[in-house]
Amino acid sequence: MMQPAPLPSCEESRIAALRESGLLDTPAESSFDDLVAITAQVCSTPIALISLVDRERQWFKARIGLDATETPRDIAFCAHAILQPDIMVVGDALSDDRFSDNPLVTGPTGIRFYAGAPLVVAGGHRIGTLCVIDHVPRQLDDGQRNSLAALARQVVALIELGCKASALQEATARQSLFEQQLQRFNDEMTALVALRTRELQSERDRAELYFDIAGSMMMVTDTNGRIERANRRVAEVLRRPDSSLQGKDWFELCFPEDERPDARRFFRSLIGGEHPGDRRFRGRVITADGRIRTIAWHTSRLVDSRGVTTGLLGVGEDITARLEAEEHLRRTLEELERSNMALQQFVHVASHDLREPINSILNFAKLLVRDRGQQDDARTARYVDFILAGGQRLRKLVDDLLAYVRIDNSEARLGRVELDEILEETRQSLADAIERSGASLKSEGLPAIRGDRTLIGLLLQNLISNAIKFRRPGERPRVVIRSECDAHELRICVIDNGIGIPDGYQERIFGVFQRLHARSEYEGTGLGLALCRRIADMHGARLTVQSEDGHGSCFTLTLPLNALLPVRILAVPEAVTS
Amino acid sequence: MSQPFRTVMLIDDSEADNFFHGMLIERSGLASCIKVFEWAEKALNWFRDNPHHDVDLVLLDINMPRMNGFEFLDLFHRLPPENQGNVAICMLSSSPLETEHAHALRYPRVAECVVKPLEDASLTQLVRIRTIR
Repeated sequence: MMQPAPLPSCEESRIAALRESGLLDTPAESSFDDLVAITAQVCSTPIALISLVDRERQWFKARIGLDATETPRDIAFCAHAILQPDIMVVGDALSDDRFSDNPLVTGPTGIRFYAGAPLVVAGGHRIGTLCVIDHVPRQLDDGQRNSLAALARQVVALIELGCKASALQEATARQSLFEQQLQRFNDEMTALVALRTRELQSERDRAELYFDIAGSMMMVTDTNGRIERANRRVAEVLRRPDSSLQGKDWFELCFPEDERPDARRFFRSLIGGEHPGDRRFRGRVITADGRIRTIAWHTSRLVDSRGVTTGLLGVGEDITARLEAEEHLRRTLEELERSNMALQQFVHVASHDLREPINSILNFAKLLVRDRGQQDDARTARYVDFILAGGQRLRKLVDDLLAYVRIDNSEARLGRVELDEILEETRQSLADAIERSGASLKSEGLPAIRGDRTLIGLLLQNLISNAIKFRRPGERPRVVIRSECDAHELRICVIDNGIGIPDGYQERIFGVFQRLHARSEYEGTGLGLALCRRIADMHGARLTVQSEDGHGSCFTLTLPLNALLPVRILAVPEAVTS
Repeated sequence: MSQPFRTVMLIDDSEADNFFHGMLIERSGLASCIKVFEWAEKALNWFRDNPHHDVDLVLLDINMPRMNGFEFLDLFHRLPPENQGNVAICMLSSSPLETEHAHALRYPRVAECVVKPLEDASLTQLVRIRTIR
């Protein structure tokens, strides 16, 4: 009676070991085919197989002399062979109870002889056999038996080699996959880093651009005041090339030598933390071409992560122009205020002085009308004299006022003024007065000066005409005009032998409408010296008087030395040799 | 009608004004005598030299060279009483300037301020000075 082989004791783990070999249902391989061919040869059998015993079947990894690729397990000889550690030999299947009615024996396959060596893999599991089969009963000799066992070990070795190879292949594949992933990761990282770097760079470029195009001066120095960075505006204000600033000492660059110690002391107080980090102050710098600019600074101390001061950031605004504009405005306002007050004063006094001759004319005209019927010629003549005098004074006043106002509104047109020429012109225009008074006019080597010819002429004429007018009764006026020069200034003096000016009045006479005398004694509008003083002012000069009551006066025009012009060398015509 | 003033003194640097004012007063018969000074200093000296004088009215110009009307007022008020005498002062000026008038009227001797030129109407003002006194 045929007996199916019982299952080995640890069938599940044996099946697992079989599956692990990865051989089931794989294509034929020449190395296994060669082994079964050798086995058949060695054992002199027509059939040799490598049979793997699966759960329900046996499957042939390599076979020779048999067409079937697998058979059911319950009829398989090998299912029996794997139950024992050694080679199982069935000499004649017909005489063996286990196989005598096995279809493989009774059927067309016609097995009579079977010998199978179990394939013992790592872990001790017998996953199949290397077996030989014959159609006739027979036995194996010892050599064949040993060879079969050895070949079975070779099959196992081949199986395990295959396993290792595939494991190796798998490992290699895994590694290469890993390497690819690593490479990809690496590429991504590289790309990311490159991107970040570009972003950082562009951020830095942008920061640099902002730093550079900022309208304010921006500068970073180290703790010793050496310039680490300075933007374009700093270079512009200092009038130095952009590239020349880095590495320079700020104080050597921007301060005159004698101011450097103080400036450095102040800088150290900013760096040294005696003050809070941020400071605002005004400072001055010297530009490359020696000009002084005023800068409004806002500085911040630079501190690293450990709290150590590394330098100073300064943001500055060049406020020189603004300050100048403010100063100019302030001066203009002051000037306006002053001139406004002067004008009010002037209007008041002018209206007073103008009213006086008008009143006089009207008064005596009225008297003429009132006394029309009376035949008093002497009296009438007196009235007319007063009217004439009033009219003349009115005309003189209007002339002088106009001259004064015109000068007040004009600017000096500076040019070369030959004082000798001016004096000659004055002499001519005062010819009448000179002749009537018998005055003598002397000058001593007058120079040429820089000034307004018309104004200087007016000034000289006023002084000389005063010198003649205010003469002592019964004495001929003597007038001397001379110039003196020292290291600082040039003085033009008009000296007379007239009535002089009492103490206490020597400054007052230069005021507008100031007179010292009754009109019956000395005619005058009180404008002449005011006019002269104004002309002196316009030339940056001073007009003063030294005098003693009754003993003559000396009026001095003091000019800055640069008003003195060199003597003009007149070209002497050469002898004509025609 | 008796003359309101014994002597009237004119202090003014303008010869024309003095002539005109003198004639006006003379014709109106306000005063028996008229004195004229073109310099305030000289007028002051005269008062200093002539105690117990008979000047009842001074017509004083404000705007004069050297010593002006106000300087004269300062010095006149420092004179001894017998030199100041019975004087009433009437200020004369060519322009009506309120501040000057107010300033002048603070002096005890100043009784009136009149704008030049004197006219018949202003003469009436002068008579009133006499009447008040």
